[in-house]
Amino acid sequence: MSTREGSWAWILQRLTAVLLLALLGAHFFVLHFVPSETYITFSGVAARLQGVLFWVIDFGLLVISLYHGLNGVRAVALDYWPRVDRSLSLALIIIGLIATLYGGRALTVFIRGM
Amino acid sequence: MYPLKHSPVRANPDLLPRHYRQGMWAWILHRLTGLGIVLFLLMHIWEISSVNRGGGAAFNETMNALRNPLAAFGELVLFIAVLYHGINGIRLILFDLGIGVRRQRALFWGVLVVSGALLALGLSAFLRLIFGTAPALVPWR
Repeated sequence: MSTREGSWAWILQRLTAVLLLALLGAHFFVLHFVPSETYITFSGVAARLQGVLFWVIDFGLLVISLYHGLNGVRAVALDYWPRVDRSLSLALIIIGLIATLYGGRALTVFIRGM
Repeated sequence: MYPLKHSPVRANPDLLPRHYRQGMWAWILHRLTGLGIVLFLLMHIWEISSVNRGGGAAFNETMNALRNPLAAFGELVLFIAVLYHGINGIRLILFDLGIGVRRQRALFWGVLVVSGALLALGLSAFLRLIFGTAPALVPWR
């Protein structure tokens, strides 16, 4: 990876970190401190996801947390195996894309409510 | 890139865990909590995506199966990891902005204090989760 790409990864890691502080805080607060249903059920989550705000928060969390997490794995791995950058990055990008599509599909099932 | 020909731990005894000082503990804890949280994240996506595999019924079944003491304990560990990683992350971003670098040790203790305070607050939600009762969600209520 070139220095230019590396510094973008560095900036994005900080940017996603700040976004996660806000989004994860909201996620945690909604699920544990807003009194709603006692148990998590499909219908309850589907009802909540009809609001655009939750839609944005959940899709945002999916993409941003995957980027931040997998880029973190990359940073750790490169400290021990500095030569695997290209193949490692490719593998992590594929994992991230699959998880985004699979998780995104799950969210659309909730939004459609069926 | 530098190939790791010689073990940095052997070259520099400061890198042995028993010689770690605050900054090193802050760094290694940030790594370990980060890796743990990624593992949880992938499991979390898999478990929520049970709707992809069997619709709402499968989702409700998965949520029921996860309502057990082991999962609750796992959530507590996750909560502690996220608190530490997030608050230490603020410390790291402040350093990137050139703030507080000279006071990094004091700030590490600050991170532990703030994490501990938020943990105490969050524990009320966990008590409800673990014991199935519904005490006040915030201590001042």
